[in-house]
Amino acid sequence: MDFPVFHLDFLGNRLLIAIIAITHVIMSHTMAVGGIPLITFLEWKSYKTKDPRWSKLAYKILFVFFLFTTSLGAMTGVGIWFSTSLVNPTAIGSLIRVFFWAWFVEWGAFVTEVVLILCYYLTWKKWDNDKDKLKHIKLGLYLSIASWITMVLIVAILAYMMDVGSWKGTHSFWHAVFNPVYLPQLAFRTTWGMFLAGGAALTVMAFLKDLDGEFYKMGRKSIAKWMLCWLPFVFLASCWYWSVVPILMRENVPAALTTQVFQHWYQGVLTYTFLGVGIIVLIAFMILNPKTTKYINRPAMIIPYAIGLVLIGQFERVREFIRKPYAIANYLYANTIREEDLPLLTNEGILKYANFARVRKITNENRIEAGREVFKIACTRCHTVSNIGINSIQDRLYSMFQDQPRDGEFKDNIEHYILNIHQARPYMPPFPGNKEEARVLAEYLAHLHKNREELLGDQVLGTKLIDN
Amino acid sequence: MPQFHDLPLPLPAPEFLLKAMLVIFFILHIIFVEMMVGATILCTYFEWKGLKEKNTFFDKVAFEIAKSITVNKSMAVVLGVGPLLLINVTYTIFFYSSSVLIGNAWILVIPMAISAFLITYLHQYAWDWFENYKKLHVTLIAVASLHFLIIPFFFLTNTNLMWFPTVWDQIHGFFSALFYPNIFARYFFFLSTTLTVTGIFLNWLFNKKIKNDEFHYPNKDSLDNLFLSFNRFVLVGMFGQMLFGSVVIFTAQKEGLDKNLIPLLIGVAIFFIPPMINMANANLNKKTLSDFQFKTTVVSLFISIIFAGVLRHHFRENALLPHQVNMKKNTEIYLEKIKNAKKNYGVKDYKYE
Repeated sequence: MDFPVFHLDFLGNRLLIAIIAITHVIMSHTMAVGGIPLITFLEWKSYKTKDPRWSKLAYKILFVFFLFTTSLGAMTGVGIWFSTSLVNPTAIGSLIRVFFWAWFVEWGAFVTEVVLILCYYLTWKKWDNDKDKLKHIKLGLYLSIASWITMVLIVAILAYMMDVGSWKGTHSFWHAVFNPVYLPQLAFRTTWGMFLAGGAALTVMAFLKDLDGEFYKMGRKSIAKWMLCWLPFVFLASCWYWSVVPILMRENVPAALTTQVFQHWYQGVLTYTFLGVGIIVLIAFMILNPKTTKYINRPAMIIPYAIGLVLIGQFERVREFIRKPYAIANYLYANTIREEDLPLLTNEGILKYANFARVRKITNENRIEAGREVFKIACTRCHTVSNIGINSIQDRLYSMFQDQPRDGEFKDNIEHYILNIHQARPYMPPFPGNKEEARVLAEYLAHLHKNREELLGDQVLGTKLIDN
Repeated sequence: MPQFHDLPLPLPAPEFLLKAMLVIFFILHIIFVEMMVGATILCTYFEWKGLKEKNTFFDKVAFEIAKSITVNKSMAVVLGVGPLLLINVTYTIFFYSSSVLIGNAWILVIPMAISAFLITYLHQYAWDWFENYKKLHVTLIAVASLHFLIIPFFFLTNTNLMWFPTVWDQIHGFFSALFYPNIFARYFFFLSTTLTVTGIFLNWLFNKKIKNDEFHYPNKDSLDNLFLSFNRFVLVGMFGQMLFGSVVIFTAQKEGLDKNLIPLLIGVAIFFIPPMINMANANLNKKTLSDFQFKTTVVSLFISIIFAGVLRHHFRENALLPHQVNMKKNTEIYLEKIKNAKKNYGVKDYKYE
């Protein structure tokens, strides 16, 4: 409510962030944090065995990782800032105020990482003799550390969003950083990154044509070993992470893993998730075993990474969803309203205090417009209006009331529901306006049933300023 | 005057420190952006020239320039994160609000930059593969250039809009904000600076490559002509900077102007003179720059850019000052109301049971 409202009525605002953020996580975790140590390991193997084929393989994988991380990876990283600053500027603005210095140091690590990856990639062929090679391997090691440090700092922020720990009482930077979820989530992301880097490398290998047959098998065997070595750590880190997820958030997992509509499929989806991990592990074992390795052909080598990408997407969705109703736990709701603002807003109204509301006072003439404005401020971070939009409010209403007439009784029911929505659905934030605003919102929702309309964001419609 | 309150969390460092860091890091970022954009455009030019004149020397020059884009674009992106962080924290309400008001265009920066980067990679790493499809190859880098020529409009429009909250309620999307005064003048000033900075960068790059025996040329004349063309780019860029810089000043909105800008403007002009003399000399006498001339040009121009950065910041501060003062007052009032509301209405427990 502190900013004009950006809204995408088909895609939905959450999906915009999800597309950008998940792409970034895939690149950063599997090709940088996990990928660079794997490449350095292969280069070291070349140095140790004096077999240049390892170095050739490592370079080819690095080439692909380099292209993706320095274009798609880097820009989606910036894209997370762009998209979150449009969708929930209050959340990202608050996070930056709390974590500024962590972000600043992370920026330093990011600059170091980029400089190092440019040096690492561009000097690969130049530093080819024995002495230089060792220097180059050290460069890979430093690059691996720099990549990981960027994760170390960013995960503190992601974990803080799930559980602010004692920060709420102290507003101390260090309390914010060392929140209860921090280290387990860091362990989880690190080990998954290492594990799935193997999947990414196998995928690159699936497209390589100029490695000799015997070495090709050795190469993928080595990568499969890498994956299996990380597997126990993945398991331990996952358990540790799960153990610190707050109880209330765990209750959101069924809806997070599926959707509200398909919650009853939860067990099935959970089974498929474990099955997916099982398939990755099975393929790795089959590559290792001389008797079964022949069954893993080139297309099959892509499967672990393909499953890994789906799992990463799923994990990120679950993490984002279970945090609800908050964007920052116990501080800021997903709809950009601060918890501590509720006594004021629920009694005196949100339209009065929103910086950019088009309607300030509800009159008989503007009730629908006022309802639309309340919806825009309080609901559009998660819901769309268009009946073809993602998480459309019209769909939600239809699933609850079907063709029941949108009369006075309906409006009474909806108003009552809105005022108690946080009790009906644990992932919904409390309604942040007063009773009259709940009523005009109910009237707007009833109006939508007969008047299928789309809701345009302020990036199209413009905004209105309070003037004095 | 429009009324808004700020986020209730304190700034993480003294405001002057954050603003000083913003100016410094933005300068570093923009220099790499200019080298990236300029190198892409000049790479297109040289490759096209090579194709048109059937001269492989220009093709080789274009290839060397293409290799620099990979490095410069990575540095431009990574160095952009710092200023982005700083502008977010320092001008939260203003920057985010203006970003939202041109939101559809603003988010387009990301796919457009990704697309441009991937095209430059394809262009560079598939150079040999495209040997027999040269026209297509030139088209690729021309498309990347086009991306880089469009993206600055998004940034310029956003930063310009951020400075003037009083016009926010007249904005209905990107195009209505694009035509506000002095955006086009600033755009052409940016392009001119790009030509200046890239010309100087290429001067340095090819000198280094020749010293390290990494660039081979058919004869001394070709090489001299190449450096003369770099110097010509610099001189044209500098004339453009003077012309469009003047237009920027004369079309600048009055809210940002005050007399303290004059010494800064004089600083920009004074340090602009030595590079201008050097480049005019080099172009008139058709001579390459000596080592000393090159160094004085770089140092002097860098100081001039610092003055320009401070000037721009001062203009922004002037434009936003009344709004910042007002916002501070409003925030205090709002926080007081929250405190009173807790006391008067009580705090309900909204936790799910």
